Amino acid sequence: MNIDLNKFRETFFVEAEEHLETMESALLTLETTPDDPELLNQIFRAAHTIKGASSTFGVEEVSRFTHVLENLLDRLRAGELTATPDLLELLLNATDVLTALIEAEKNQTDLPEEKEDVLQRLKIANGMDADHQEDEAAVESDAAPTDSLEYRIKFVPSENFFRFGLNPLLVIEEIDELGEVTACIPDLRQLKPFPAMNAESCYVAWNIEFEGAVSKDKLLEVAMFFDEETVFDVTPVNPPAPEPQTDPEPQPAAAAPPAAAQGEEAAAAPPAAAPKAKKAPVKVKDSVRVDRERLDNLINQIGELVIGTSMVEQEWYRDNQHAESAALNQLGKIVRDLQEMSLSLRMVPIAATFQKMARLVRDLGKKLDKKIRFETEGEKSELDKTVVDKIGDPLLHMVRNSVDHGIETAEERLAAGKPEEGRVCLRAFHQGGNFIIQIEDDGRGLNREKIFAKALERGLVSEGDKLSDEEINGLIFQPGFSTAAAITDVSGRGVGMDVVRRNVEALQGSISVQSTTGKGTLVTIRLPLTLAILDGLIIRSNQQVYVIPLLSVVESICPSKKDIKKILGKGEVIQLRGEVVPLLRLNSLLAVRGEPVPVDTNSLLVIVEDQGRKFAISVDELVGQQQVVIKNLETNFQKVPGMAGATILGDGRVALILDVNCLGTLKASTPSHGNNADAETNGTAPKLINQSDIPETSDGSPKPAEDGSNSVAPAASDLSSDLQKETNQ
Amino acid sequence: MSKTVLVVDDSTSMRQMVSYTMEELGFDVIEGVDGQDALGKVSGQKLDLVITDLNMPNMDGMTLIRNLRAEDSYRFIPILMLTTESQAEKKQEGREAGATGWIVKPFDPEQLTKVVNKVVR
Repeated sequence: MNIDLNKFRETFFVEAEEHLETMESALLTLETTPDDPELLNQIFRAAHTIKGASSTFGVEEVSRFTHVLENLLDRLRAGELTATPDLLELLLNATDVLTALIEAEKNQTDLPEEKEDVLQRLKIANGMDADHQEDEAAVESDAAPTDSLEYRIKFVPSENFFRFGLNPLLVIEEIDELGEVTACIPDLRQLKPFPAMNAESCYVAWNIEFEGAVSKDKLLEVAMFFDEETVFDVTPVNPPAPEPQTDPEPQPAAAAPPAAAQGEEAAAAPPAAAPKAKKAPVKVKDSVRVDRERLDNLINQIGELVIGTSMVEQEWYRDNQHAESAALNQLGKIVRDLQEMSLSLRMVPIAATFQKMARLVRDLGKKLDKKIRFETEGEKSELDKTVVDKIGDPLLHMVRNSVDHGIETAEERLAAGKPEEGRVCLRAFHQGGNFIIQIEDDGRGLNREKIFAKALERGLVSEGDKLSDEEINGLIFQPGFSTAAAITDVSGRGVGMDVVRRNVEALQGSISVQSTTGKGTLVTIRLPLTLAILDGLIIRSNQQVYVIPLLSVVESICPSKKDIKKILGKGEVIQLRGEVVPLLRLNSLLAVRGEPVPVDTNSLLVIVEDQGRKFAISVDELVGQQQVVIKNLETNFQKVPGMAGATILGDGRVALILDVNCLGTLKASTPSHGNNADAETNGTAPKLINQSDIPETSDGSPKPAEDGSNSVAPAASDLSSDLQKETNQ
Repeated sequence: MSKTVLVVDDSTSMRQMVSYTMEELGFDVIEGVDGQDALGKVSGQKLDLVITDLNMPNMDGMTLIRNLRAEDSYRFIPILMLTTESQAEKKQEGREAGATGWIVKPFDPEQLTKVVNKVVR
């Protein structure tokens, strides 16, 4: 039978990675509680499993490395070695090397260079000579004889034979398969009267005559599992030599076949009774591994189902204006429940991501010679896996910033009256339909003056500008911004924060910073719970419908004409309870074809908020509020600035989802809309995407026009500069 | 009627490999991720063979073997342990717990088949 082991290799790699995470996590915890036996066991078991599986699946390098590591860990948990900080450091390094080894094996790339070095150190720590090679198990080569030989086998199963799950009949069959059993004579001398016998004991023995082209050792292999009391004597019958009489007293089958002795090392000390921590019985979660793609497809399809159901509902209510359909209501409920369930399939706790940070803080803190305590809260909070995967890098950067720039050295802290040990905390929780991650440190905080000075230097602000704290802190998100006096190789290159913000925004999230100079910094990242659906406000502007994410909406108002002012050089604004809020004309901003509707008392304004700034968006109608299924514009069509995606409404219309954040940026880069709202409608305005421009293919998905006449949406920077150019006319 | 084997190992890849091999041999397979899980799955179930790893969380192989042997239905079925060559003393302990035999890791499906054929037909 030829079984291909390759299919199991995949699983092995996934599994090994999980075990390595467990090891790292446990090792880190061990640094604070070095004597926890359960942790030691955990680490050993993880390494042991990797060792066993890797050799089974032919991942040799990993197996060899883990072998040495495992020995070390075994001695550690047996109490033969103490978990000194140096040893833990070595073990952590070993875990890193192992991770790299696994990656290399998985991707068939070069092995990590540190491997040999760490391996030697492991061996030394284990008390072995640096180049001591573990004795490879001696393989007995069975020289099979060519001629058929005769043997006499005396087989006396012990009384307990059956209790080991052994079956004498199978033994005889096994012998028969090696050649031929020419005679099989039971020896019934041990049988007693029935009442005196135990039905579970064996009282029968056999004398077997055998012929076959096999060696004595091969025959003895049959007895591999026999207990010590069982007799299995194999005597060659050599016609020329006189037959040695079978011994009357049974010889214990201690002549264990060499095969069984293979690789056995005399156990130096019996395994130390690692106290089995008496825990409450843990309920083992029964789970199924599902291919990621299948999951995504399922969720996607359920999204389609939601859309389809809306369409059915729409059709019904169009034809049956006043009638309720109980069946439709029922269906709607079921479909929405289904959607919620499907989205939860992809939810995973953020714990693993947070754990990665623990290692970083420790290593970095050591390197920079700072004492830092790392804490996490809300690790178990769950989030869509797609988001979790992508939030790792931004988080890493933030934590790095905290450790590098935020937390001061021990001396500085003491001088400032702070505890010597700095604190970096990662917090996660749900709030109002969002997932919030906070990175908090009690370091030196953002320096307002420094930031302002830097911004001045870069021309982002002018001398007399008065900026709120929020705005000052917001400046650090500008590309290339860094107030670090020196660029360390850790951070300070100034390429971080804007990338972080972009990454967060790509996940439809937002990021903000709060800080008190001298006391610390708090970065808050707000993420949607899932990227698949959105609660939206449907609005109409001219003939187009759009969706504004409900979370960004503050309120909608019907302004009176006198509240709307025009400010020279800044465009229109509205006065809202004493606050001055810039006004955006959706029509103008997006250059939608059709006459712009002048703002008057009957017009509606939707007030939205983005990163602390408010905007008023002028719309023609509030169509409704509903949960929409987000369809990715990029994959179905192309990236469109100002739009976060698209959706299909119940009536089949495509509605673009406004990216409020982007609108705000667009607004900021167009300082002047001129005095006349009509200026934007002249033909030089860049022609952006109109839903009606997007031709539909037969399956209903949009495709770009073949002749290319559909003008490509320019990049955001082009857009704003075009708008700029245009309004400067 | 086909025979049933209980395969217990906390390593998914190992478990899958063993299960697959056993299925190819015509067995029905019940899988357990550790001793406790395995016990929960087999109460009253007819078993013809057990293959179990030793190092597992929640309940290790040795304890599982003892628990199985304590049940009437499983007192005489063959139980195989998956061991590594560094666990020599485990063979003795296993014997005392009632194990039938062992398979040394690393092993491939052919080796597994050979050992299985020794103890169950």
